[in-house]
Amino acid sequence: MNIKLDDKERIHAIGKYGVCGYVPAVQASQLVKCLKKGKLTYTKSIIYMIKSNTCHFSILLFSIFLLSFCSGTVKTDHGPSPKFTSKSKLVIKPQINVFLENSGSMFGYVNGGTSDFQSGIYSYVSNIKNSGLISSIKLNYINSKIIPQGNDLKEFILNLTPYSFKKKGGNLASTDIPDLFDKVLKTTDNKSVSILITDAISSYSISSRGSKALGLIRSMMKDNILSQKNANPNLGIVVYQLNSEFSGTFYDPMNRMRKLVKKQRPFYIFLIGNNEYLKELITDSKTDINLVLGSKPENYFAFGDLKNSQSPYAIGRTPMIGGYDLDREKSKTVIHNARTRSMNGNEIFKFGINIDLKKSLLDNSYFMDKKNYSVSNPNYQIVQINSSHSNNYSHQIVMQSKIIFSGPLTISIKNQLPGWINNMNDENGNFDVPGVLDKTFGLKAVLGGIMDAYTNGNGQLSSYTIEINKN
Amino acid sequence: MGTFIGDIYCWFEGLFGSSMKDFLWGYDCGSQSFILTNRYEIFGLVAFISTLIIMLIYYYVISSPKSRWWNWLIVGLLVGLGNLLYAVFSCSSWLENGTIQECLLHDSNGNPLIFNADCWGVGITNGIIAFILFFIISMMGKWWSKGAKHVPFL
Repeated sequence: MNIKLDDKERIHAIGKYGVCGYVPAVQASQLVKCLKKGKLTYTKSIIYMIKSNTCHFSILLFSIFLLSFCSGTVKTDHGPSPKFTSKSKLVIKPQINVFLENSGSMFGYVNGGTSDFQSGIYSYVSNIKNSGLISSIKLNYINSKIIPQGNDLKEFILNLTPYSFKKKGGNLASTDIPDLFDKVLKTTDNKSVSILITDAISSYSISSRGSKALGLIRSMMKDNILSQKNANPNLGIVVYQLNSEFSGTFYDPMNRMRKLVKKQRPFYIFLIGNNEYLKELITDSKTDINLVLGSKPENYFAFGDLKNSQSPYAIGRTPMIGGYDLDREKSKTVIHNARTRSMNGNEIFKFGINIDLKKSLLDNSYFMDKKNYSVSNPNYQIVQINSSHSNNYSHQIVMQSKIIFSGPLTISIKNQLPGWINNMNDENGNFDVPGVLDKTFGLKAVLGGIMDAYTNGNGQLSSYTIEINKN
Repeated sequence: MGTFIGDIYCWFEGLFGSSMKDFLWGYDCGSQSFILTNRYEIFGLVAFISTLIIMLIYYYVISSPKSRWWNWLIVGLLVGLGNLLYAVFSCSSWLENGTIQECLLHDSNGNPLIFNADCWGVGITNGIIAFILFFIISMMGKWWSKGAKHVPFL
């Protein structure tokens, strides 16, 4: 399509079959202003519609939409903060607050000053600081209280020694992980992202509280997150599990000590903040944690709501075995005339549902796993999950049934903890159990509590309902 | 109106298949909705205008008291043939120039969903509909004809 400006300052669209129409340059200029103000959320799709073979219709739409959007009468799907441009780049950059736990159990990670822990954190935080994606950075130690350390990253990292940890004060003898989270959450507002670096070991004494200790941690974590979610409904949490050399005294939950020398121990980096900010930080190549030097994440998980408005879906035309007609008004969710096809003596009805999960904080591997889905009618089975590179949809769920059942069918994505959390979790705190030093006491209680805050009782991340009709 | 016209064409869906049917309804693979041009509407409009013009020419320009059912039938068949060829060539050009999107052309295994024969199916459908339209318009428009108001029943 050719775009030309005439002497009356009108921008002409000339398609394959001749002149399609025009937009006055004044309106086009208005469009630019609207884009700058972030008011035009549908611009991309409107412009997309101006194709050479359909432009005589869409140019009209273009003008009408332009006027209505700029007059401010159009509702947008996005909340007021943070703001987006049409290309979904964040306008308001977040402040980053780094919280490094400096309790006694962390000494072993910084003993010697050359561990993967230090180089990894330095590299990661430095990448974030210099990414251009944030407004400012504040560095803190955290234990029973928050101890601000200014914003000099180099000094902060070079001072990571057991001596400096002790010198900065606070209660170093024990760690109350729910309390740690509570403090971090309360400093995380709509325009900031907190990075919490911790070994995630709670010091609740098993001997005094028994098995109830882990239940208590879980409940407190849930309560902390829910309180903060009320203030910021877009709150998301990302957790990376990393390993680093640990040399020093290791305390178990019963405060028994054991000297460890160059033992690989897990630690965790939590990113806490607005979903959109987190999405940008974990996906942008400048801040991708997988690109940092030193310690790289072994595992990843994310907690965050995925509203249906953020994950559009549609029944696809392919793959199709048997057949169906898409409803012309509700083509994305309703099919008619569904029919099976006989293949090798078996009747098969197969179709695909395309879902856009790009806005989720979870990574692709979670969505590619059939175990993370449930289907309302067990006769329909998920036979395949495909990753899609289309602009509109990120995944395709292929469903199959031997018999066609008319009525609604709901496919849900479960909100459940991944297997690695079970593998990394220790509930005994007993040194003598082989492999226990590779694990984290109470990890499942901590992350399970966060998960409880996000499942809202139904255990689902999101669900997608379609309607199948035989007629 | 577009839906009504499309529904009539879809009585003959068996001649051109569901993928061609969805293309003609204006299905867009990107948005997975029917947002593109409804081509049934275009076929219907062309058929209506062409049959109206031919009817006017037949009854009010070239007709005479000698006109009979068979020459009306020949004209009607020519109208149908013209619309058939128009639809076949339109459809073939859409197939050749890439207007028909990939999700309608091939399934996920690369098997074709639309064939050249489907264009003939669309053409035959358009021809039949144009002929029926010519009959209906003739019934409505013949009464003021001086030479052939009883055609095609004479």
